[in-house]
Amino acid sequence: MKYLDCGFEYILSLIDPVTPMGREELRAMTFLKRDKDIEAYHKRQLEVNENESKIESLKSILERIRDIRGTISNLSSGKILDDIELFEIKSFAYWSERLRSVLGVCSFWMQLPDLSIVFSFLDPDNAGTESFYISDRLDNALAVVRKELHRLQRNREKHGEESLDELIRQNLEIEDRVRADLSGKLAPYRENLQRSATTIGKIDLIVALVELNRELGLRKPEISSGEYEFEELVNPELAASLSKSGKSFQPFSARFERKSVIIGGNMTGKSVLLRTVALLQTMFQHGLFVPAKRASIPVYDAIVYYSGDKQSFLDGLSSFAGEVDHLKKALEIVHKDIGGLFLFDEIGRSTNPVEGPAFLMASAEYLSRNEKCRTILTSHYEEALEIEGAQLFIIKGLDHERIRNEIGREISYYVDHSLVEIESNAFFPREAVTIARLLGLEREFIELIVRNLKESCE
Amino acid sequence: MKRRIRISDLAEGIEVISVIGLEKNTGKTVVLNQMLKEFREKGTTVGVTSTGLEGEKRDQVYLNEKPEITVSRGTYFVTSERDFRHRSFPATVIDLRDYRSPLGRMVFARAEADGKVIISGPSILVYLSEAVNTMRSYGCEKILIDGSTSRMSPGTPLVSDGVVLATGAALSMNLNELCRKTSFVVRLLSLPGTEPELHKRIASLGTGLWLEKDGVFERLCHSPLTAKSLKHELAGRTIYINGSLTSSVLLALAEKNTRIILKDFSRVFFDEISLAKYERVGGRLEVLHPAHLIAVTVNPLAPSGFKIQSEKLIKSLEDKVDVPVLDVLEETSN
Repeated sequence: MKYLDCGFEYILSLIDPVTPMGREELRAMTFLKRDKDIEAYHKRQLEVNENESKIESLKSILERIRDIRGTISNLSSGKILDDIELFEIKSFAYWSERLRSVLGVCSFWMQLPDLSIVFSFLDPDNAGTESFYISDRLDNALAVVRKELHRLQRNREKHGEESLDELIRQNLEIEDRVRADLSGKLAPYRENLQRSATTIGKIDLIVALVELNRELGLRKPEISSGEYEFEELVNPELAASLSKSGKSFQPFSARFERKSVIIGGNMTGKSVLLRTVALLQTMFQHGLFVPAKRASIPVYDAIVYYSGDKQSFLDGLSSFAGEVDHLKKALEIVHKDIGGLFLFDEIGRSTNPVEGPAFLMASAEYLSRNEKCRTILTSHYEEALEIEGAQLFIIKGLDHERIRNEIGREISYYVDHSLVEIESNAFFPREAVTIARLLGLEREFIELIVRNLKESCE
Repeated sequence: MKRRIRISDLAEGIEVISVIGLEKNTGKTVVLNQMLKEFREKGTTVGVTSTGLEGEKRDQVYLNEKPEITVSRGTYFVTSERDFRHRSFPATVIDLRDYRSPLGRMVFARAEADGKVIISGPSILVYLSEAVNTMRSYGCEKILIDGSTSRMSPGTPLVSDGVVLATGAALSMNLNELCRKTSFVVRLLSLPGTEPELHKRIASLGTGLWLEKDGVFERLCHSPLTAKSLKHELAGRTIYINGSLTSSVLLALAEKNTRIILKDFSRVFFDEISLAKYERVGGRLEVLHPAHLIAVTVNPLAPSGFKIQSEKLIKSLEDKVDVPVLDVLEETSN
């Protein structure tokens, strides 16, 4: 499955179910388009989280559970199971029952079928362990043969070899009969076994999600009917990499209308913000909790996110072709009259500065024609201020007071990533030269740029 | 009549014992079976496994049937699914683990009657060690490991407390040659361990060839195999090799009083002559993990049918090595 290029794979890589069934559930997670499907996932995570004290014991049991679906299918096709397969079933029933008892009274989705009868078939000696042995109790003749076998093996009587071989043969024959008998008794329970395996996979996945929520501090988002709002949104991948170098991620908060444009200088984090919104939405629509202190966002049928050069490069397109391609996808959604979230990072940037802004203006207008869609754009172009009916944001950017007072710090120290709403008559930031200087570009070169700037203004 | 030495008596106080063979048909399996038998007689709870797949059931050259291990009621064993299915006796399956072996998962089991089974245990050291620990948790007092038919049984000293070395006419039909080859391996198995202080400093170093300089180890190259023309002053210095040591490298390092430390004896890929040259200039050889050699066993019978006179063989070997030497066929004949 191909996901949006927004870092969702990173999140998935942190989800770690311990059973093969749980891993399969993880791979089967899809983009959910209905509120109630997302709600169901939320509810499951909350339920498991409520039983916080049980999570450790649930995990220690889950870790012991093998994938026995191959054996179940052998059972279904009427095969006679061998000792290893019978052990697998017994061990599975054992751990499934343990899990059932730890869960106690629980909601329907995690209710495991009762496998105690399956277990008791395979535990004739009432040993209560997962070990499996074709016990003497399973066939009356078995005890007799084995007793004699042991006697002969202990005493090694003369002329014993032949009768020993005969006893071994008889023992094997009876054992085979017992296996056939057990397989027949177990066959009616194959559906219960299968159901247990499926349910265990679901529990395993939710336990893994709850652990992820704790590890990354994810919170349950609210499903809104229209508004789009979040507080203190962070990008977990970037936050982790920043914290390695002793820095921290500055969280974003925003409330977006149906048509929003974010402006701001270079290095202020417009792209990061857009990427994180794409991630937020993707996580939300897979039923996950989200990396924001609070989020209230609607469910969409599709997300179109255009992040820029790298993406097109990987798709074998020029940056411009990539942009056009994504625009086409977005237009299709507008026409289809379904809900779409459109996130375009600096639309029109890959063409000339005369036509580029025109792309921006047209996109802003056209993409918001459909009431069911929401558009968030970032831009470098001053024309962005003139987009009709758009809600405008700016990322604060350079803190000039800090620049004046402290010299020689890393650039991130001088940048304020806060997002603030502005009016359309606001001043458009021009800080490329200052930022280039802070990044250490040669002084003479900077002076040349400034000279060029003055000339073009005159 | 001289009282026969029992191999189980020699293994007193040693919990995990590896049996390694110098060549196929040197009687490794006979030794294992003998030990299993003796421990059973003593009422000791035994576990048995092996290091990895050792090949076909049939010896390809001589078509001798590869002997199966004879376990008795109550013996614990760890073998592959495939070989477990081919056993001839009732057994309890206790655990099933996926060690990604080509022969399938590993079955942890207990024999419920006497019988035969081919043992093909985990081929990776960490899993072998896990299997040993698991059998210990089942209550095994002795754990036997069927080592590979080669002295290059990596990590043997790491998982086992003692080693039994099986040699015999299958290695060479020439008595002198046989004794020479065997005593060389015995020497390697007896390489002294490095002192604890140095061990601690070395243990975490990665692969390659390391030279000690002013108390600090410096990596000269990543692959010890290519370290032939070192420009460094080596005389009197300590060198740690995490990897294999070949004859040519050993000779390249042969300078006055050098001290080479290897991980364990299984990393040795040099011959006797090179070792002699290295030692002649005052070189010393040590290992991080020394092995404890319990005994040498001999099989005077070669698979071709040729037989070396047993007493003479034992006598010749006893002159060269200072551990007990036993004839495996004599052991089993009574």
